[in-house]
Amino acid sequence: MGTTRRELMGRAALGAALVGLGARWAHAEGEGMEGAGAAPKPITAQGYRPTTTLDGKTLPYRMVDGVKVFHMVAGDVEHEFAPGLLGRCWGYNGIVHGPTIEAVEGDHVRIYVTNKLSAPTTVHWHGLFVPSGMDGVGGLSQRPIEPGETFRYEFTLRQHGTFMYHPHHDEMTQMALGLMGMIVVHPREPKGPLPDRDYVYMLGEWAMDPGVWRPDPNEMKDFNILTLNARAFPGTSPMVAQLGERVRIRIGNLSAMDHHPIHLHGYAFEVIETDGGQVPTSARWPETTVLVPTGSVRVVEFIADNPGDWAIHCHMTHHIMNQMGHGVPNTAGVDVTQFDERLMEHVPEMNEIMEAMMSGDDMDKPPPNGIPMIGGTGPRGYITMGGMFTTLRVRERLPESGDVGWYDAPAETQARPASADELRTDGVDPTSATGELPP
Amino acid sequence: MARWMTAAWALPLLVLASSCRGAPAVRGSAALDASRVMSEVRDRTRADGDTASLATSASSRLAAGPLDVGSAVEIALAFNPTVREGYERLGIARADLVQAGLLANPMLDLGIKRFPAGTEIEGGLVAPVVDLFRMPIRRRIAASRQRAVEAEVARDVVGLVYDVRRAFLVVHEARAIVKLRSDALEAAKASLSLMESLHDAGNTLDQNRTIEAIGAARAALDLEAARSDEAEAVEDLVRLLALEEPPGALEIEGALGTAPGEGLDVADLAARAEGASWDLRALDAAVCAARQDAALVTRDRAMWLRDAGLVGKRDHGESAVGVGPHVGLELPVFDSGRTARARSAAVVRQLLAQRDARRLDVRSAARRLEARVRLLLDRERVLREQYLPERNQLVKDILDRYSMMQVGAFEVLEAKGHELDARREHVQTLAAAWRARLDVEELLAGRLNDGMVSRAGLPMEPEHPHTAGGH
Ligand SMILES: [Cu+2]
Repeated sequence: MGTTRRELMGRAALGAALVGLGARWAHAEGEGMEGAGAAPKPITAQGYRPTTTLDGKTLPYRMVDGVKVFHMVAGDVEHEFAPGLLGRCWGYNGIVHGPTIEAVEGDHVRIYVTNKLSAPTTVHWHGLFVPSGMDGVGGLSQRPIEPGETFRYEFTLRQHGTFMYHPHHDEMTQMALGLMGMIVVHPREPKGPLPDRDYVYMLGEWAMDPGVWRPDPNEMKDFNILTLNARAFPGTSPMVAQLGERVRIRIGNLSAMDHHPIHLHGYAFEVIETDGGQVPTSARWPETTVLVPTGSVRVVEFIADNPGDWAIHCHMTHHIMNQMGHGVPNTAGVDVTQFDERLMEHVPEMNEIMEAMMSGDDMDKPPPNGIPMIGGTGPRGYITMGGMFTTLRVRERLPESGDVGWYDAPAETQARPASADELRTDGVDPTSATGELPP
Repeated sequence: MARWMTAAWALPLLVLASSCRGAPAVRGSAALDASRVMSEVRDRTRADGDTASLATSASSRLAAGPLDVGSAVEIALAFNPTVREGYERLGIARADLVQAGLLANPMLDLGIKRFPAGTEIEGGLVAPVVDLFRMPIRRRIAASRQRAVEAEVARDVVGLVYDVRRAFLVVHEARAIVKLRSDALEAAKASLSLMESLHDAGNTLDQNRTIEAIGAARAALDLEAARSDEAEAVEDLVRLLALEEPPGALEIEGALGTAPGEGLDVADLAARAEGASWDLRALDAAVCAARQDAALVTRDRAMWLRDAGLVGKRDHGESAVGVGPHVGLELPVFDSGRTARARSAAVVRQLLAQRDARRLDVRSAARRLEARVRLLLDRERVLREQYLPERNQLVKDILDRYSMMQVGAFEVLEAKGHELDARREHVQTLAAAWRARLDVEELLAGRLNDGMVSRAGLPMEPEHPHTAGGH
C-alpha cells in the first residue's frame, strides 16, 4: 500500500502536534501514568503482587474504620491516544480509561462517585457479586447520578478475580467516550504461585476521523482507533519480563461492537480466569490467541522463558490500523503514484500542499489531529501496525534504568537476506515461480 | 352626436399642437442631419473612438492587430449597413422636408379646335391656390416626420453600438466557459484513466468504470457545446462588424471585466430612461405630424376653393380674345370630409396609445433592470467573496483527507469538478451582470431592447455527480 505519503503526512502532523499543542495538552494525563518497572513490584502486606496498568493508573484508597474508601470522579478528559492523536473524552479521575480498582477478597469497600459530566451517569460493577441496589443499572437498581451529585456505593468483595466497571446509563454514548475501567480482586488465600508480573489491559474501540477531536458515539461499524488501555500503537508502552518470570495478563473488553482475538508471539499460554471466576486447572488448554468477547475478561498466564521482543496484538488486521480510511478505492496491484500525479496536474491545490509540506511551512497550520495508519520506527525498519499492538520484551536481565530498548538477537538467530552461495548450496532457485526444489 | 364627436377630436389636437415644435429652417442638408444624429449618439453611448485611424475596410482594420471593443464599435459604425441605411433615411426625410416647402406648379392650359369657320383657341393659367394654404402645415408635418426619423435612426445606431458591446462581452464569456469546460474535461479524463487502471487491475466494478466514462463523455459534450457557443458569439460579432469573411481566426482582445458595477448610477433610472428614450421622442414627433395632418384635413374641408387663374378664349370666327378669371371649387356633395377627419383623429389617438405603451415599457424596463443589475452585482459578489473560496476550501479539505488516506483521488476530483461548476456559475453571473449593466447604459442612451422587457433566468450551478467515487 502507498504508505509513503501517509508516513510523510503523518510525521509532519506529529511534529506539528508536538510543537503546536505540546503546551496546551501537557496537563492532560501524563503525570504518573504507569510504565513497566525493571523489577517486579513488591508483595503487599495483604499478600498480593500489585498489578500494573500500563499507560494507566491504579486507584488509590484510604482505610476508614476498616473500610477501603475510594473516590471516583467522572468528568471531561483531554486524552492522548498516541502522540499526535488527541481526543475530547470522558474518563474518571482525569484519565482515560479510569484507574484500576485493586482490592482483596473480603475487603469492605466504599466507593464515592462524583459526577462532573454534563450528563447523568451511574457505575455498574461488571462481574462483581454486589447487592442488587449497588449494581448501578440506571432506572433499575438506582436513579442516575445527576451532574454535580456524589453517590455512595458500598459492598463487600465476596469473590476474587478480574472484573470491570462502566456506566449503565446511556451506555452507548458514555462508553464510546471512554468511561470504563478494570477491577482486580486478589484472593485472600492465593492457591499456586503469585505472578511476578501482573499486567491489566482494557480493550477499546473508538470512531474518530483525522481532524476530529471527539469520538463519535453514533458509530456502529467503522471504528478506526483500536486501543490497549486507551492507547494505540505507537502510543502503547511495552510489557517487560525477566527470563523465567511468571507473567499474568488480564484482558477486559468493553468495545462497543467487537470481540478481539489477542495473539501473543513466542509463547503458548493458558486462560486461568474469566470475569466469571477461575478456570479449574484440569479445564485449561494451551493457546496462542485468546478471544476476548465484548463484556468479558480473559486472564492468561505463562512463564517468560523465551527471550526477545514479542508482538502481542489483536489478530483482526483492521484492528492493528490507525484511523484507516475505509472509503478509499482498492489500489492493490496498481501504480499508486499516478493518483498523486494526476491530482497535481488537475488540482493545483495539491501542489500547494506538497510544497508547503516540503518546505515545512505547514507547521504553522493547526495539526489535523491524526496519526499514521501504521506504527512507527522499529529496530529493523518500520513497524507496519497500529492500534491494538504492543510488545512483550523478555530479557535475561532487565536494566536497572528500566529502559529495556530493542532486543539484540544473536546473529545466528536473525533472519537476513540469503547469499548466492547459500542458495546454490541448498539448490534454491530464486527465479522459480513455484519454489520447486531439485530432487 | 356627430358634432360633439367632432369637438372631442379637436380638443387633443389643440393641446398637442402647442407642444409640437414649429417648422425648422428649410436650410440644412442630409449630411448635417447625419452628423448631428451621430454626434448625439456618440455623446450618449460614449463611443469616442478615433475614426480617423479607421482603414478603408473593416478587414484591413482587423488585420492591424487584436480587436478591442472600442475599435469594434468604430468599425461597426463605419461599415455596418444599418448606419448607411439610417443615413439614407435621414436623406429621404430631408428631401421630404424640402419638397414640402415647394409650392405646386401652376398649370398652363391651351386648347386649339379647328372649325370650318376658323380656329378656336382657348387657354388659361391656373394655380392650385389651395397649396398656398396647405404648404406651411405640410412643412410642419415634414419637419415632425424628419424629427421622428432622426430619433429612429439614432435609436438604431445606439442599438448597434450596444449590440457590438454585447457581442464582445458574449465572446469573452464564451471563451472563459470554454476554458473551464476544457479543464473539466481534462479532470474527467484523468478520473476515467485512474478508474480504468483500477478496473484493469480487477479492483473495481464495471459500473464504476462506466460512470467515469459517462462523466468524461459528458464533459466532452459540454466542451463541444461551449466551443459552439463561442463560435456563434464570434459570428455575431463578425456580422455586426459587417465582415464578408472573417480574416482567419478573429483575434479578440481582453477578457471579462471584474467590476461590472463600477461607476454605475441607477438612481432615478425610470425618469432618466423616459427622458432619454428615442422611441418616445419619435412617437412624440409622429403624434405632432399626425395632429398637423389632421389640421390639414380640417383646413382642406373648410376651403372649397381649389385653384384660381386667368383664362382666355378666342372663338372661331372671332378676332377678339376674351380674358377673365377662373376659379375651381370643390362641392362637398358626396364627401363632406367627415370620414377623413375621423380617420386622422384616430391616427392621432393610435399614436398616443402607442406612446403610452412605449412609455410603460421604458419605465418597466428601468425598474426591471435596476432590480436585475442590483441582484446580479450582489450575486456576483457573494459568489466571488464567499461561495468560490468555500468551494476551493472544500477541495483543500478533501485533499487533506486524501493525504491522510481517508478518501480516494476520485473524491478530490469530484470536489474540483464542483468547484469548476461554481466558477462557471460565477463567470456566467459576472457576464450577466455586465449584460445588465450594458442594458442600463443602453436604456439611458435611449434604446429599449427586447431583453429589457422579458424575464432573464439566473445562471445556476448544476447538481450532478462528477465521478463514481471509486469503490
Ligand atoms: Cu480486535
